[in-house]
Amino acid sequence: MLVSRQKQDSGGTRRLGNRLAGHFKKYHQLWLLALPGIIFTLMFAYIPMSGLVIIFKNYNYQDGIFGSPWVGLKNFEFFFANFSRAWRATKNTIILNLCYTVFGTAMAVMLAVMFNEVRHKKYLKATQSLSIMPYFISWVVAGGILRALLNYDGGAINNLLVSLGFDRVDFYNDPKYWRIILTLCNIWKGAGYNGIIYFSTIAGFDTSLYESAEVDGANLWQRIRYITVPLLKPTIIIMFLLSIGKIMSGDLTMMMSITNLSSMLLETTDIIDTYVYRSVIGMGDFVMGSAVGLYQSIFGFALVLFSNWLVGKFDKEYRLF
Amino acid sequence: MKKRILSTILTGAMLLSALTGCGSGGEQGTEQSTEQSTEQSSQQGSQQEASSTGASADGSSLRPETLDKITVVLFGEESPRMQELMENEFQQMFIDEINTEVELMYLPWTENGAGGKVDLMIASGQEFDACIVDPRWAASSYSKGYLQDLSDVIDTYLPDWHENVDPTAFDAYRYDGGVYAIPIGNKPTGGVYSTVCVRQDIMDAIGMENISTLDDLTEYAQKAKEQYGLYATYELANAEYIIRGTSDRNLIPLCTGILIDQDTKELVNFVESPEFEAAVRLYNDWYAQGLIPKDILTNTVTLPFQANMTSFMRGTCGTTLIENEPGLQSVVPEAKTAEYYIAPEKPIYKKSYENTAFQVPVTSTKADRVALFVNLLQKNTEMANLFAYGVEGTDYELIDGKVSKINTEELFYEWMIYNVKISSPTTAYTDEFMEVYKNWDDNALPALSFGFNIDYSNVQTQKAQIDSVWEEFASPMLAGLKDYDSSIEELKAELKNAGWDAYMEEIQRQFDAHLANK
Amino acid sequence: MSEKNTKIKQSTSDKALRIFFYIFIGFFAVICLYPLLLAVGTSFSDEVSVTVNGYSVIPKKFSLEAYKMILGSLGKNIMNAYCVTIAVTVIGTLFSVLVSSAFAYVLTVREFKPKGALNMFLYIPMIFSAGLLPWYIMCTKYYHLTDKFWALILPCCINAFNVFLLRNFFKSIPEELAEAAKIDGASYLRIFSVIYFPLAKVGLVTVGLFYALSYWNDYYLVLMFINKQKLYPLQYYLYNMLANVQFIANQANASLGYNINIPLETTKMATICVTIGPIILLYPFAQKYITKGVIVGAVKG
Repeated sequence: MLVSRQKQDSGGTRRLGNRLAGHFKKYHQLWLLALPGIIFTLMFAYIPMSGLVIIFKNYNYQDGIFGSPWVGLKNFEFFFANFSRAWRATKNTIILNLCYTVFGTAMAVMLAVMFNEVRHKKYLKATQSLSIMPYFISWVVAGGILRALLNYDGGAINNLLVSLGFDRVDFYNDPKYWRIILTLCNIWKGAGYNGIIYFSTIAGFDTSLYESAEVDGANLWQRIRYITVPLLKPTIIIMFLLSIGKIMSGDLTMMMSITNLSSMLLETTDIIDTYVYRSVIGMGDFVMGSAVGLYQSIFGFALVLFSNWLVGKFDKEYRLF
Repeated sequence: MKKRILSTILTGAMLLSALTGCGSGGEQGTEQSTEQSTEQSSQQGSQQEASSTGASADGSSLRPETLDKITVVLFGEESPRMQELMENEFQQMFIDEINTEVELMYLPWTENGAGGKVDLMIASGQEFDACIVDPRWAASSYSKGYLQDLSDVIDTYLPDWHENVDPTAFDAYRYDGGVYAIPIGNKPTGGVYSTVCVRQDIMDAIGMENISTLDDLTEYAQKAKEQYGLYATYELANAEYIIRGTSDRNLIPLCTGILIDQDTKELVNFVESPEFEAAVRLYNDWYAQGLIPKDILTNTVTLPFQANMTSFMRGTCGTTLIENEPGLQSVVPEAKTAEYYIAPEKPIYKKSYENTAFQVPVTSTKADRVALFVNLLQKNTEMANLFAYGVEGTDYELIDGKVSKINTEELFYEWMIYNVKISSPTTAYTDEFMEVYKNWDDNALPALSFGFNIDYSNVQTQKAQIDSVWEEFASPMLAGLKDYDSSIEELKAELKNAGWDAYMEEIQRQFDAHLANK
Repeated sequence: MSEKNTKIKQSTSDKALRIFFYIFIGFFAVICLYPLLLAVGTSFSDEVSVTVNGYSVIPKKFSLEAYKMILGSLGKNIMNAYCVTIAVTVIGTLFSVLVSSAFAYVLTVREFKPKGALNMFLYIPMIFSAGLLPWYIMCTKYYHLTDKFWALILPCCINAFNVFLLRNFFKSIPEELAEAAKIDGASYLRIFSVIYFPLAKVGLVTVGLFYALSYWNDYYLVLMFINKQKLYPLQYYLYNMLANVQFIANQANASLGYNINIPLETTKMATICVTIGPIILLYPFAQKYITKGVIVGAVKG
């Protein structure tokens, strides 16, 4: 009995061994190709990740990362202590990120499709290069430019309103405008750059499809509607899945430069990152910040798993993993 | 299969990381303790050395026998002239005087403060020996155990320093009986921010002679707005010069929402105080009159007063003459500035706001040499001038005892080294001004907050909450944007919610202990 | 007759749509151009007039102070800084594209079962980050990256986003090509190097462009790991200078003896003009390769 089980066991491991050996015999070249990527990801992402334990500790130098005393969830406390504030920050983050993703993607795809129809080489080169420029303008500078547009007295938009016979709008003290303003800023900055992704994807499409459609009498709009957009779908889905994971994280620099974290605008602009910054800055504590970072990551990760599963329901090929 | 491989990879990664991680943790611990002991022994050694040579006050005898190197972290960028001097004259001076080679490492100013690269370097055990620090950063570093106790070093290795620098400066860096940084420089700080700096040319034009009450200030601001189109200020209503004018009490700010009454030695809850009400109501009025710019909370113009956008700003102990006037005059050539005390009959206080010091990380074994280095920078007029202005004749000339610069490139920071006792003033300072300036602190009383460093670790959560509530609910009131009557109850409720009572209680406890120690 | 009519109608509606596209694109380009003109105009302005009057396309008072400041900060290191930047960008981009495309190819092989796990392995670090301190300790204490050239490349040499993007490009290559090659006895390595690598040129150029831009703009790794001036790239000088100018401007009224006028706003703008230069050169170059019909030709051929 005992003997036979041992035999069975060794047979099992041998089978597994055989299977592994077979796997590597067949696929060793693939492993070789993936190896550099695996090594660098391990080195610079996974190994340092063990340091995440710091979040549950009261870090001090003498004891180091692993020796410092455990404090459980104490580093999360400040964030959830006032639930309504934490909820507001979470809600604002998600709403703004959804706006950025949906409208940003729509704009990027539109630009790419339109660029694709431009027949003048020079016009294409000029406009497309220009559309990428904002990507290189830092938020600090963009914030300054925006101020020149929106200022109460002297701002270009308010001057325009006045000359059209309307009242001035006090943008900087009224939170209701800011979801739109922030979304527009984000589109302005990223649409051209992200458009490159879709533009080059379109460039890879089989031109014979278009040729035969043209022969069949399809007009330009129909060609875009029934060929280009459906073919872009996988790319759009991938980009969407990739951005879903970051739905809980926000851009602190952008908020600081554009709103100066003005208390008058927090109703719509207080995202998780700014809330943490406003709370913890007085103590120079970066562990509390990392704790909230983990909350953002876990939430994002759960959402990605869910959306990935949902996408897989429709077409397995579109899944991220 | 898929799952199995994933889990093997993950466990592998975690194991690996756990191993290396534990290694790093343990290593840090032991390394630190051995370093401390070697540091102590080296200290003892050099102390013996010093005593064996028999001289106690004579600086030169402290010169170590062996040549060694220290690395000092500064911020900004090394100017070409500084590079040159550090290779020649300065370096020679360091070797001659303290037998120590000094290597400078420059980091961007953004890394100055908690959580920046300096903290990372200490935490990961990268070697350097000193870095400039301010009281707030030092408090955070101390709580993480990054700083070395310098109590022994400062008695022995700062002979000239003790002559020229005010030793109360140490108070800003004292924690639990130890001293954790060596301050440098010596400037009057009495009444800093308690004065208001206004445009004297406007005062003359509108026929005002003095500003001594908030009503005067309002009148001045109104006229400046009417006749010159200037806003009042971009500073909030909790500016010290405003608070000073709101009552007879002598209140000095301590931390978010708390002031100290200098006479009764009590902590004052700012929001509940009549001073808060008076200040907010004043700003509400100003806002209604259009004296406060609408973008007061969003504007990022660094120096609106200098850009001729506002009619007043906080004053800085008489030095606005040097700091604000030249910038302002490049916009309005005929502009003149002057500082006035609101409620001039009230006493002025010395506070520890602008206090630069050198920290020594726990990883360094050369605290004695760092002390000698700081001592040398503050040794005498010759040294202070050399390191701040450069070589006489090449980099600057002395005209009637005042420095006229030939080279304007930055060397060791002037603002850091400047010591009113020894440094030569630049030609921007008039004689009359120097007379007043030198004795500026004579009538100043030490504020009760001086040397009181709050340890927030017991009320971290409350502190974080209160800071964010303060920003959101108190700032708009202090900016005049939100009306006192309609907003005060909400602010009080929010603060209470955020844990105000525990916060106040903890700070009260620490403050009592501080007073008992004094 | 009727056929001809519809064709004419079609082409006019196509034409109208196309004109709309041209206008829309032109409009967007102008929105993007305007801030740039503001930046250029402001960078040539006198600091005081910018503080008082705000940004303007045409300088109210002409001044080269900001550019003097940048040149002054770069000083005699300018050539060296350029060389470091170019070396990091070129070597880093080539290296990254190689590593990423190899990895991305593996993720597209249909019969390779562990690819799901590898996808996950790659994706997790995109969401979960280790935190600065442990990462820094590993890099400096164990990988000894301080003051090494490779410190500017390795820590960010593989970007999950770009790998997924490449995977997507590879997926658009008809699988029949790989199948056919496999039947002919070609190994995976060969399929990758002969079919996928050359055929996904558009994707490789796109991803290469993204990598190149990130290497070109990086100052963070320099800040973390490099103390030797010899290894400072251009961006780091600019970053450092801006950080310092900002600090000095904030410090000006608290410190003593600062009576120099610091060109803060104009310098910010001037750095934009300096950094945006490469994209004006680089993008049209990359765009040449992102042209239509690469794959079709290959399949037919």
